[in-house]
Amino acid sequence: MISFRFGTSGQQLFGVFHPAQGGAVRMGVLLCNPFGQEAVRIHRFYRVLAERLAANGMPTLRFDYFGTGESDGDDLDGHIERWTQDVLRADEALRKRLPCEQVAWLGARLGGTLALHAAQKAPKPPTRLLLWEPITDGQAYLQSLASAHQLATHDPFFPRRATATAAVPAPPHMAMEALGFALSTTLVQQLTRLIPAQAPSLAAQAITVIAPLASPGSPGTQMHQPAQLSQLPHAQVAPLDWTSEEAINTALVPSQALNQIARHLEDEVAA
Amino acid sequence: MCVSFGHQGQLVGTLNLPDRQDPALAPALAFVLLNAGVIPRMGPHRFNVKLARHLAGQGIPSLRFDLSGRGDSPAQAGAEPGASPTRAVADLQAAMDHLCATTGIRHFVIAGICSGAFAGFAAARHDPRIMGLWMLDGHVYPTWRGKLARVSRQLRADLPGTLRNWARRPWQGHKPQTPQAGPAMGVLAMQARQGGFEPTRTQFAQAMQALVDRGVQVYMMFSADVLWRYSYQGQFRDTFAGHGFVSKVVCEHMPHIDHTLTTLQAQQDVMQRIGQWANTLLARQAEHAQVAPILTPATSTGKAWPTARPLHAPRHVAPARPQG
Repeated sequence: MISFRFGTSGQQLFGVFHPAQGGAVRMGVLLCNPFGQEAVRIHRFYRVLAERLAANGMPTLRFDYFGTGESDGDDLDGHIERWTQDVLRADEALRKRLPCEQVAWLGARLGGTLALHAAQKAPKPPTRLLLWEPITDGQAYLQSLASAHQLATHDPFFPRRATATAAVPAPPHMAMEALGFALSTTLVQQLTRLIPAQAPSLAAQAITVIAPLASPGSPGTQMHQPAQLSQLPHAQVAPLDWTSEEAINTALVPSQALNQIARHLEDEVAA
Repeated sequence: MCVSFGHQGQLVGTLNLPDRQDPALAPALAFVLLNAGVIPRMGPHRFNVKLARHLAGQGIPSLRFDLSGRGDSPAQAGAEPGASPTRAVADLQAAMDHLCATTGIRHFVIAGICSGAFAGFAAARHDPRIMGLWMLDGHVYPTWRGKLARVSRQLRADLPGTLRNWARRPWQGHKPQTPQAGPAMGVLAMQARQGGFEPTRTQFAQAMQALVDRGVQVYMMFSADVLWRYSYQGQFRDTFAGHGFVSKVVCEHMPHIDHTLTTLQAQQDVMQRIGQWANTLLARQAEHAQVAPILTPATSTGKAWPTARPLHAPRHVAPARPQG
């Protein structure tokens, strides 16, 4: 496992590359994070997945968008257009380390949305795209973030907590905060423009949508999928509590989801 | 700056170096920021990143890193699963070794939340290089007054629900049925899982007295999410009344913040408090330096820090003479 930074000084992204362990390398994998607390939640899952893929001959890169994780930048610096470019930069960084041309992208939640957008612009689109509960209805997603934030911060024992937050003036260009992260007005506007009726053209050779099992659909995802995504092959995994703090009361790395997702990629290589 | 250190370079971290204002001297201390539970080194809601940059703005370097088996650091081969106090202390010492080797700094402040606080406290007991401890929701010891304060809040928040719960389980105490009790109980569950980190009240008092006698500056905060065990301002004083360290330890009850600083306001508040406290530590170090210099002077090149080298593979970092 190799940690490194890439990009221009002051705007560098952080990445962790998992080189393949033996055998012929036939495909590399890029893991695209979800937003905010969901990225914290998925961190361990992505690491375990990357290690498994690398052990099976698939070099894998996981990375942080600008203004997130270990990358340069602050909360308010991030937005969809910028992060879409970050996906392309990360893809380029991965391809430099590959002896092959085949690359798969896995994008979870907003990461799936970014992967879809980036695939349209990629000089070399991914040959395989896995979209894990991609966000396609931005308004619904923003509402779900607001609800989750309210639930996490309201405490009947200390009602001053909620009012204390409201009493502090927000920094400029901040539209809202959600579960410990500030959202810029730019990001909120871009999310607001995400509607199910519009979807980017599908620029990957093979796309699979990963949806939660037996769920009515979390806001912004399955129920509100554009027609193009609804018609794609679907795989189902047990629902993940995307905003849970430290995965309280749930598995940090759900094995069913891990196995399902890894098999999709491993089968691609075995074919 | 990405760094790796420790046994076979297994530990992964990020070093934050401030822009050098005075190239003649290295800072007097550095912060080491730890994982909170299983959350990677960025910290809950990226708090460690924000805190590191805040401290850098004050001229204070920091290293945040993943303990063995957390975040990007692999578990040690043959290590037992789960948290290990011994392993955490060893990892912390490796972090301080690395900081000393690369920056020349020899005095450290450990900042930790929950399990991070436990690990910092354990390490401070064994390593004299630690001169400061910031702990959020660390070791806590309930008092009868605290229990009364908590029961009073429960009854005010949900009288019928609380009474119903008591009627069902009179021997277990007072757990309300409000859905918002989830986070608080989750914190207690996490702390219970730490197992092995929790000294007895007497052991804690002895250890704390030893730290204070050694000159370690301790700053403790308790959030709303540990209400079940820390319920009012002054509880620490009441718990350890009669011990000499009580008047020398800063302890704040902060019911307006939660365990992982979920609101931006809570993050800002805590960062500012830590920053102000850090300034007092720097002032103390400056006073001591006049008596016993602890800083490494720069070379004539005036270069303050070692050149940042891209991390290509885990490797052992050999001790190097500080530059600048």
